[in-house]
Amino acid sequence: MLRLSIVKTVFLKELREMLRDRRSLAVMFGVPLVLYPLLTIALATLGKAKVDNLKETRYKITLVNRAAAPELTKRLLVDTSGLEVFESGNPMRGLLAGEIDGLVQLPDDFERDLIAGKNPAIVLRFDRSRTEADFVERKLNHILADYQEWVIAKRLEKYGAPVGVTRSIERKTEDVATAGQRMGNRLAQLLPLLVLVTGMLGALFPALAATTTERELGTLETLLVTPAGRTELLLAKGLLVLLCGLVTAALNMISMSLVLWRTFSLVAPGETLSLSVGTLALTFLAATPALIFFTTLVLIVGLLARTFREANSYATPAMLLPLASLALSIADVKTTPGLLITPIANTTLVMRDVLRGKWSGGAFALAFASSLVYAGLLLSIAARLFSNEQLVNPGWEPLSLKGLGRRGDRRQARLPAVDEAIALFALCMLLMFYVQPSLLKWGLYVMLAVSQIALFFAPAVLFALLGKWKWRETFKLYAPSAAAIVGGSLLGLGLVPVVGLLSGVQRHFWPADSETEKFMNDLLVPLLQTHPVFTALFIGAFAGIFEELLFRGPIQTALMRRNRPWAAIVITAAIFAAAHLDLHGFALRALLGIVLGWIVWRSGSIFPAMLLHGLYDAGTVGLAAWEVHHQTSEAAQPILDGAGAVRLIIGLLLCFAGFWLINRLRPREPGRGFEVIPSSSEPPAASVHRV
Amino acid sequence: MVDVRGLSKIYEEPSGGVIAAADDVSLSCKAGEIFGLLGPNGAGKTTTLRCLATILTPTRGSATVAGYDLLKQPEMIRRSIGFLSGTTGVYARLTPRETLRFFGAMYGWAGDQLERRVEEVLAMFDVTSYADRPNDRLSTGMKQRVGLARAVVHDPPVLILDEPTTGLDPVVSRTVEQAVRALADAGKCVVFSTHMLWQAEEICDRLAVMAGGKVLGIGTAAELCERCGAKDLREAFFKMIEAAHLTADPREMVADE
Repeated sequence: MLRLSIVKTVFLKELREMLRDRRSLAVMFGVPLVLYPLLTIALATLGKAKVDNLKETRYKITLVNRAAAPELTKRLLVDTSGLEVFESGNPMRGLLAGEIDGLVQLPDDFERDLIAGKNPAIVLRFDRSRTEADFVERKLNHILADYQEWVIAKRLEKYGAPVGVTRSIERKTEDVATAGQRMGNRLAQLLPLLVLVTGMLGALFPALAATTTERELGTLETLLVTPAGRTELLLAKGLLVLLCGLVTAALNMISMSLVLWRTFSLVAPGETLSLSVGTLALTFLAATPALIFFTTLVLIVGLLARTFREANSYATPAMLLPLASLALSIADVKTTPGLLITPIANTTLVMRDVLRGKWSGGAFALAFASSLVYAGLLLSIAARLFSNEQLVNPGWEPLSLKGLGRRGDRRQARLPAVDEAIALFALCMLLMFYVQPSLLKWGLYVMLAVSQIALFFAPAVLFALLGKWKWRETFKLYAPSAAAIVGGSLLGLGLVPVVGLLSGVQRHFWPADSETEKFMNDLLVPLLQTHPVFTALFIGAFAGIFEELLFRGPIQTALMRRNRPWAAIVITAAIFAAAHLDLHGFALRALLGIVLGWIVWRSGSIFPAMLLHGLYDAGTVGLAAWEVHHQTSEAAQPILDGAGAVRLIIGLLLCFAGFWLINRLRPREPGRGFEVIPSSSEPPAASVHRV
Repeated sequence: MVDVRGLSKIYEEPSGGVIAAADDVSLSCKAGEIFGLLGPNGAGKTTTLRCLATILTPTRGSATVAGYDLLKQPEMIRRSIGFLSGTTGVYARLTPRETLRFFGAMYGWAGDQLERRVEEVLAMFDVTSYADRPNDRLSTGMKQRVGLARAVVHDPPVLILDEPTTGLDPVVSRTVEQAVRALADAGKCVVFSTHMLWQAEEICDRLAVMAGGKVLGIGTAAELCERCGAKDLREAFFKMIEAAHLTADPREMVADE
């Protein structure tokens, strides 16, 4: 059991040391509180002064052949032009020497030809190696635009047309964004990168001090011989490192936001911009899981490195990771579900959207949850490294990522760990997001078969091979009893009308998204019209076999090792429902997942769950095919008609019988999950299947 | 108090071979005794002591420390031992007093009891005069005194000292040896490793000579000499090494002496 008093003692010791470390304090407080304001305000003030100076300066130009354009000359000579027409014997040399800032060359009879409708060319020359060139050109362009209007008016006089015909369309532009959104849009370019990089930087020195330096000084050994458990020590150290990362990131975010707000106000005083504390707090909240991820990453760097110098070498490439955020900010990519579960991208996009005031709760939750999963995986790696006995003795056998397996029994087959199961799930989801859409063009059959085999089953097999998982125990590949087979079949068939009714009730109060429904109909209905039986069996078979192998296989088995059976079953069911990425169908799929998890637990075998899942999917699709063939629309139907009521009664009877049969099976060691199953590869004892 | 039976620690080499850092080590040490592990560098002394301190898990064998089983009750063992090695340091940014308070708290001491114990231990090792100076401003000898004070702040019955005088000048070494003797006289069970023959002969009540991970002989210095027919411990040590056909470099022993 975790002893908070020990965690607190170690945390306070680490905090005391950190507060006496000038290097850490400089990174945490010095940069955001002193450097940013000073640098940015100084640069902005200097920049503004320079711009004002450049704008107000009367630039010297030389007008060659001014007699050719009396009106233009007159316009250039007025005081408000901001230009000073300067005579020069050799204007080209004067321009190159910086004596004049621009040169205007007019051909003979320029103005007369213009009014006559000809197209004589004027030559403007600048020296773009000088800052002044842009400002001179801008002023000249402004005068030439007015002059052009005058020329056109002169041309029109010949035809007796009114001057108004050349007038451009009146435009009135209004910005509907709020002052906060305008400021947020500016911050969105920089803030995600800044928060992630500074969070990492703030955590770096405390992380190295808590790991590599402790090992080099020989103080880590003294900690490990105290009664504190390694998890408690890592938690205390990790909390301090995280606190440093969060404080550094928060201070940097606040300071940079204020500084940029002040700078923009100075540079563009006419534009209303505002900063919202709520928006900044929400932006920081969105970044928190990613900050946990990155602070854990630097902790891992510290654990892997044998010396401080080695740690710095490892940290350098790690520090480049958040730069991916900058690329996304520059590309200004659209927020998609796939990106919302991609590390770094999810945080960057949600922070951007929150700052711009264009965020949604669902996207925020998805990005937050997926980032937490990645952070959790990294934390589990850190925990494994810290519990490795070579932590204080890397000379014998250096710590490495390949040594993350179970201590002492690397060659022995074992059951999956929770973090491995979560990593497997995360990989499957990433593959689903990025690969499955490209399979759609091949039609439903190919998409389903490839996604079930290649995106669900293959990663599970890969993990099992790499992790040396016990195949039979992990995937529950045990022969089921006859009662389990019959019970699973009855439940699979019986749940079709029962879940169908619940779905109908849900639709009545909460209609499904029309676009999603249309998409599914377009995909499924043509197949149901041509091959109804094959389609139902195909979907039932593939989903039943491969989804069960993934969810009720390694995921539920791993969760069972660390949780009470019901908790593991419910969590697995929630993961299973979430994997379908359909909020509308989440509750019913979770319910189905609970039944599937329960049947695997009671029977000790995956096969009754496969049967249940397959029959349920095939039955549901078969019912849809029947409706398609009889041209009945769900929308037009009442929730429960006469035939539906009969089906429901039969379904309830089947479910009751199925539950009764399965409930009579006795799981091994109830209340302890599957951890206590002996390591032999024998199937569970006969008592498991006793009816 | 310490009873070791057939303890081995085997490491797998990246090339696929194995190294027995400690090979079938058996020894025992009782309360009030200083038991020495004598051997050259790489003899297996540190591995054995790290196993006893529960930092490493033995590959084979069993042991009890202060009556607790090494594999089944590692936390109780950690509560019962004080551990110090020549390479263990002190927290640079803490003072000796803060160091002792922190480690005392780690063993569950608190309040006035902790404060009294800290003052007592500071006085015991003559650290009081610099108790509030940051550790990184202390000399090597001062740091080792703080280390010893840290190892006994929770008043453990067993002390595991792994070459605690390595790198210390003769004067400071002498102080440490005297402190260790005083702790043993106070009833502590002390397991003390060294590669210095004169030190082992002078302060250890009994000795185990180790090389190549194995225990070559156990007894008092006189018993070991008698068993090998040697006139002194130095001669007995080299005879044992040669008899075991081990490759320990005798020059190391000469140099260290």
